[in-house]
Amino acid sequence: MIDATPTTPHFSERGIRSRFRRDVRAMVGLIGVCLLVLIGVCGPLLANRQPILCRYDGSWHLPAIVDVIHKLPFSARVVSKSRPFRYPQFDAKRDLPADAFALWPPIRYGPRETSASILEGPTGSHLLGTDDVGRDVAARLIHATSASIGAGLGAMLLAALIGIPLGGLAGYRGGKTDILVSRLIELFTCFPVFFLILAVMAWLGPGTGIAGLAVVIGLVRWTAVARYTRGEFLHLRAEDYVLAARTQGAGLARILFVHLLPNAMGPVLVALAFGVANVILIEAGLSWLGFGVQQPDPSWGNMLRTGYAHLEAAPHLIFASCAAIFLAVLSCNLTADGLRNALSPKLR
Amino acid sequence: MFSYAVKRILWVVPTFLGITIATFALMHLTPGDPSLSADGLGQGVLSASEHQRLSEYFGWDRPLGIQYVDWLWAALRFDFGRSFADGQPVIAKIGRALPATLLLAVVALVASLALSIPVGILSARRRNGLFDSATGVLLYGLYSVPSYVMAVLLILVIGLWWDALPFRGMTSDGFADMSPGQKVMDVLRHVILIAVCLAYRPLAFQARFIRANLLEVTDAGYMRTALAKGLSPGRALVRHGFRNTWIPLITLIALTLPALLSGAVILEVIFSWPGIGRLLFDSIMRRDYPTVMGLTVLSAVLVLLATLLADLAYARIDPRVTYD
Repeated sequence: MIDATPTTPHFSERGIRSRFRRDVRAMVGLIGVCLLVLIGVCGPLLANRQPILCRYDGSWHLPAIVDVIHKLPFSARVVSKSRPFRYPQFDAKRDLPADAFALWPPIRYGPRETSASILEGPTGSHLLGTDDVGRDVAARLIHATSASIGAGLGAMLLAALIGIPLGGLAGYRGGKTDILVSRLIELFTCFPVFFLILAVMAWLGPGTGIAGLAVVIGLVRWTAVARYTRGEFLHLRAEDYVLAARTQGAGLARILFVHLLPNAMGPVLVALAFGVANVILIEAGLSWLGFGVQQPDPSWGNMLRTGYAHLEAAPHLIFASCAAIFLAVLSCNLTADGLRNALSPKLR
Repeated sequence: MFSYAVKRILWVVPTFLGITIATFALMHLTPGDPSLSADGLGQGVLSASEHQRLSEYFGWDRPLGIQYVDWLWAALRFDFGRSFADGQPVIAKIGRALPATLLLAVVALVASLALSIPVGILSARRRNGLFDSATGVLLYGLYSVPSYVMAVLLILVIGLWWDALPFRGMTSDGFADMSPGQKVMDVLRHVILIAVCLAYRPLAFQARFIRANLLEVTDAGYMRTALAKGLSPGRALVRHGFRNTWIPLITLIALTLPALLSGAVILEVIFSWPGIGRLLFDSIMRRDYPTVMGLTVLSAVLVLLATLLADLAYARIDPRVTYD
């Protein structure tokens, strides 16, 4: 949807950077993206049913920090929580002695922790209220960030891994390769994105987790990256340094990735940044429909779904997830737009 | 123009074949035989005899190539088989759902253009003026609001709190007994909220697009001529400048079409709109594969035809267009 015209950088890297820094909207967007990544990574330190640091039974414990480490795949085999924090029946809020030292996260609830207060509006203890099974909305909102950001970055990484080599090859080689790849891109763009993703999901079933979702979205969304890369490489292949590399006997991969790609990186990054915004939007939409992240794990999309089911009784449920999706998409769009303007500052 | 048109139309053939192959591959390459899945075809795992009957019906026992050719030949005659869910011909189900989606797409497109063209022209007239800055920020924010977020908010405020507009389905109860005039009004009332949700993102994009294109032509020689011969700036912008943004705008509209179709899936589900997006969602939930495949092929072909028409219109308007 966003303008896909390739832009050739005619300016020095420093010029681009300083133009980006002077662009208030772009900087706001970038700060937003960084904050989201930070919240995504450090979610367990912001909202957790166990403290970050505490003294219990004569020794020090770091249960929330172990939760952060557990976000890495397979890390549970290497690091595990100290006793008694690894047992689900141990409730730190109840079982820790009142006089023991404990550094708590700002929100003392986990994303899956239920309570007796159901569909309650914002109160002192639940800042954004509770959902239909009494889970804290603020805690879920924070923990859902990593799903959305992870899906966005993961899907676009896959899209880049497919789109950059294919688009680059088409742009550099031209001729039959270009015709073939361009047809393939055209073919993919014929399918409405959501239709294609849903059709694939029909075969994988609604139970497909967030990783599967990211893979499917990446496999569908690579065309935008390929289009940008192709356009850039088409421009750049006539440059003298490409000829120089070729006369020195550089191989195809070397020319594509060492000589051409760094010079085309700006526009490709723009495509990727817009892509991340788009994937966040698609992921939340799919979760909304019941695909993707499944309850009780939180995602902005499935929180919106819960909120919609209780729209009249508890309107507070939708505002938080609506705002989160909006801010995430806005931040990515602002960053991408700022980057594009910094690369080709002709119209503002 | 003629030879361009012929070449352009001929290029549709390989893309069309590609679409059918891709859809067919999707049906066969994804893991899991649909007839074996536990929740395919109603409840419970199929018995061996049922599986046998099904695989004969769909020809799973034959070579892939022959299956494809047969399927393609049937698809060319709009025969996508019968739905797994209710045994009706797939094409009949799609035919019943298509008008609702087309109505929605047309209303949304007309509404977005009716607003984006004046907004685009007005903001290009005084670049970085008050109107330009204000609409710029507003449209930028709007563009970042997902349509389903807007849908939920509109339903809450306008549908539930104010109770001003209906938001479920396409018609009210007792639609059959209404007079033709009442029927039109009823459908129009139902289409408003969902069309707004579908239209505002294209609207934001089109307005900024028109503005950018107009700004590009303000320095053109013919604009200076128009001003020099005494045309007012506004009139010059509309009569001479805007004419030249029509050409990219047509391409943009053609490119918006897939978004209008696919963005409608979630909205049609939220608003219970009986269109093809909702049909797709329902078919997926029921694992009704013939319908899913039929919908996928048809929507892709629809987009293919729309881009073809846009390219032909482009060539008709702009005599400079040639192939490659």
